[in-house]
Amino acid sequence: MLQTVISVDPLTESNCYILAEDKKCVVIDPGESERLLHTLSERGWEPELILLTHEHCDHMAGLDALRETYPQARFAASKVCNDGVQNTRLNMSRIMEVYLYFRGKPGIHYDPIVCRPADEIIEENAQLAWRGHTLRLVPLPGHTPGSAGIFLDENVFFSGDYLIPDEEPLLRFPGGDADSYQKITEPFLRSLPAGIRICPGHGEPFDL
Amino acid sequence: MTNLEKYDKAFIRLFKVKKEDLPGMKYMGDKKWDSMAHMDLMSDLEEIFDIQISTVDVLDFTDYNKGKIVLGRYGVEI
Repeated sequence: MLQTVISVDPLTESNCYILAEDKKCVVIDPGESERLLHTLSERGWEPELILLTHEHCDHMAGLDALRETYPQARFAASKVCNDGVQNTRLNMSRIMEVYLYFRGKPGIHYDPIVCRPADEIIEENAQLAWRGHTLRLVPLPGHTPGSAGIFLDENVFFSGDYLIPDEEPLLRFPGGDADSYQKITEPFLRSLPAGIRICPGHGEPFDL
Repeated sequence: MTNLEKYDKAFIRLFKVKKEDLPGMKYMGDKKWDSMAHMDLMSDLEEIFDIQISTVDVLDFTDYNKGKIVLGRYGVEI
């Protein structure tokens, strides 16, 4: 039976989702490593697959530590997302300290980071089979060039930095694109079926 | 292109203003130059001048003219 656990980074308040089946798991958005590795170790879960909803550092800062601890875990990403995780401007780490200051968290030291390239480059609309489940990616540009929504079995949707409760999507970060958001992403998000479970990148999951 | 021309171009591109409006521009003095735009401007200037601006200096970059002084700390004479 599928189990889902959320590990929240206290600094950036980003959600990392762990989907576990028979002690094996998929990790979506490893935004930090300490809590995540503790959760995995405590439960005896082994990551097999790592996915990102987008390339920002608050969603992938724990990626390389996770891969070092679990070298069998495969990080799969679209080319554009993969490019972003290796670029300190596009992944926001270069300006994260200032961003945290503006978000009311002054005095935080945040080093620019990049992550190793993906183990596997996948199509932007890839469909991945995992232990009897289907993970389907949908490219959703606007917040970042590499943003994607991830369906789990078509009834759960990991929305990244879209559909965050009480927040408008931020489209003005480096690589952000309001036109693409309006043409592609916004209509798609409006078309999501009522009742689907939304798991946003920040804040509590909810039913649409 | 001179450093001043590059500097001005960054403002004009981002804020869609005329060159003559630049000297009066202040962070938070106009809704166009909010915190998001400020981060965008800093990223642009870092890329244009191949520098990395510290957080202290990002926060010290409070207007168009002060920005020239800030960039001077990184060897960018404007």
